[in-house]
Amino acid sequence: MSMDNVVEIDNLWVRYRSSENWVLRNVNLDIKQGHAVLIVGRSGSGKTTLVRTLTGAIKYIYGAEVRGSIKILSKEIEDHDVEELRKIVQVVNQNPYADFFNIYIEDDILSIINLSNVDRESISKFFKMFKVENLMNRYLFELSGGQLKRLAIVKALLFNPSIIILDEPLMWLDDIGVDSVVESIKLLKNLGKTVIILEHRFKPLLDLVDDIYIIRNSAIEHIDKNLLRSSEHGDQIDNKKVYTSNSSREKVVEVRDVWFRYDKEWILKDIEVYIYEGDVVILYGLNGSGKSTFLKILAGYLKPVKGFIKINRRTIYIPQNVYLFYTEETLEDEIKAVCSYRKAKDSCIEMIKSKVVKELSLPDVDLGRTPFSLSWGEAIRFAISLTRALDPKTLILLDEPFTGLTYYERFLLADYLSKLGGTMVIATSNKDVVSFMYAKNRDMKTFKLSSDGLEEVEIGIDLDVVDLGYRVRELLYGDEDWG
Amino acid sequence: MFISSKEVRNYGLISRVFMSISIIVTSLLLFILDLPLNKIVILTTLLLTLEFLILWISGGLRKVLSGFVVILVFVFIGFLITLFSMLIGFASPPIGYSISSMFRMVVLVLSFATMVQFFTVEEIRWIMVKLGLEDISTIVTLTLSQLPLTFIQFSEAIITIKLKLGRRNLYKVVKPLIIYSIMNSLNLAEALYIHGVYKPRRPRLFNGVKDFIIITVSVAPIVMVLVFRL
Repeated sequence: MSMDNVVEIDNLWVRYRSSENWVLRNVNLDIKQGHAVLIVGRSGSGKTTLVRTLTGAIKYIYGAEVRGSIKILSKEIEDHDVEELRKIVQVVNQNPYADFFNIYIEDDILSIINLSNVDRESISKFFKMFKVENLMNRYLFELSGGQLKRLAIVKALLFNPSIIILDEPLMWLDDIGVDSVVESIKLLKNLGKTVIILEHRFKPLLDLVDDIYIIRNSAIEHIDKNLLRSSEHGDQIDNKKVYTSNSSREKVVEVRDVWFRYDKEWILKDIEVYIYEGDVVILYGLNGSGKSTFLKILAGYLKPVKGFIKINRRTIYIPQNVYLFYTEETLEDEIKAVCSYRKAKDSCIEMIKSKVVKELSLPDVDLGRTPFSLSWGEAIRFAISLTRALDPKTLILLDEPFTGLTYYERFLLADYLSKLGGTMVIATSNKDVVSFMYAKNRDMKTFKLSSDGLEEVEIGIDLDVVDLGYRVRELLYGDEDWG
Repeated sequence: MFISSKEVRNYGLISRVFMSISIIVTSLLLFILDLPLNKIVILTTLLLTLEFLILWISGGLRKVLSGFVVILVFVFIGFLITLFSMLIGFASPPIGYSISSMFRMVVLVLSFATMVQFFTVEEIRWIMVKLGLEDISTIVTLTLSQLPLTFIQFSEAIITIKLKLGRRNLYKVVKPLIIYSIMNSLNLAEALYIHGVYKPRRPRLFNGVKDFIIITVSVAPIVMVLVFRL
């Protein structure tokens, strides 16, 4: 092992108390000082387990069984005390809200500064570099995902660690937030920090990282960067738009002159949109542009200050945190719950079961599973399938359904939504989503929501990102049949 | 409700503690002591003025208006109870007694609400640590910091379940929220392990002449109670 390795993992095996299976098996990994390393893997592959292992949380918080050797700065992790380890390894969490102990950012950061061994000049330099000096006087819940991630990175730097681990740093971020976090990662590299990044949406990071590893079948292996770079594959996709006339279709949603404000700030101004039977509508906008507010108005939860809204369909809302959709212990109970007020309850249950199983292309789906054990993508698809099986004409409102999915899972979800047909509104803050959806459905309407209002737009399609869907499939899933 | 404005820090911690204790103690004494109606009116008016002053300091006009909403809610409830008791044949209480009881209750409820408004989470934590309640102070801080986010999840769950299962099954939001809370707690536990639990910063205890004004004003209700009893 080289002397300039800051992380040396040798024959690591990890399994949780509740499971017989090893999440990580025979993992060997060396990471050099000052390198930026990207680790990719499908959902549930063990990426987060690897992070927990590097911080020691896997034993202290989760009580997992760990075998093998993990050396941080040439010293076995178990020989570091917790305080010492905190000064070497810091993590920016997937959920940035968890990184803050206090509701006031200033209180939270100043308490750390008091303990920090970093000199005051460097601290003020970090604040300027990461553009967070104006965020100190704010509440935790007032900040966007991108602002919180930048603040969490600065907070991590206050411990002056050699290694910074970023767990899904681009999750929940809009396109501008992604750019700001990518800039922050460049700055971390310039500061000489070793950066370990675990990310599904890795395309913006490819030019930034020195090495890429993949976790597959519980083991880790180094891969060539070029395997993930774009090819000519994407250009084969026909990008010609198809227009379907509205005249023969029934109007499902009619929104005219809708205005909405929180306190004094107008969020929605003079919104006008008509959605017809079978329309797939993408509602694109940056975080804070009012997408979720608009969906909540369509869902009937918020009342606009003024305007006219008419929806002549049963409507279902699938939230950003899709697990909030599930209320029962098993998938079978979920089916029973939606049928509970039907006159022909038994036939409703049987009809939904057969439709769900068929639609999800999962003939051997175990309906005795708890819905909370489904992966993010599976949970979204099951929720939609359940809803549509009950009434195929249901209007489905999806808030950021592509969040937290690998490129291939995005590809699958776009494919599923397109094959499903029906009327749906999909809110998103990422242009990637438009590309994935467009690759599968040329007859899609895209609206951009901003402070100027809502307008129908044509967003440039990034075919490279769709191409990544194919490449990631081969890399992460191999020959598995994922329908 | 649980979030105070940073403006409250313009006043020293001791003067604010003094004022909060004074308001709460006097509000309780209004129920315990047998004071004549005219004196209750004077004291409740004074206490309401102080409570609105705190609301003004901690959030401006909006919070003062919220305070008025609380009063209106109590007026409405009091009116309904009186009406109901009359309908089922009970003798209705004297109008003066009803109004004074209602206002005493408003003063008591607002006294606790304003106390939360008058201290920042960090200050509450510092006070608890000084009282030897270090572990509880950590739990309280984490709870208060996560509360707004939990409310956001709650509203998301309400919309989802209402549309999925109908209004009658809204109680089912409990399960996904419990799951969310468990997952979030694990995230927080991990974050605490990574960052450590640091000590709260010492707040500013005194802040000049303004504090003396607050303390002097705080003494007024206590002095008045003593004068009325003597």
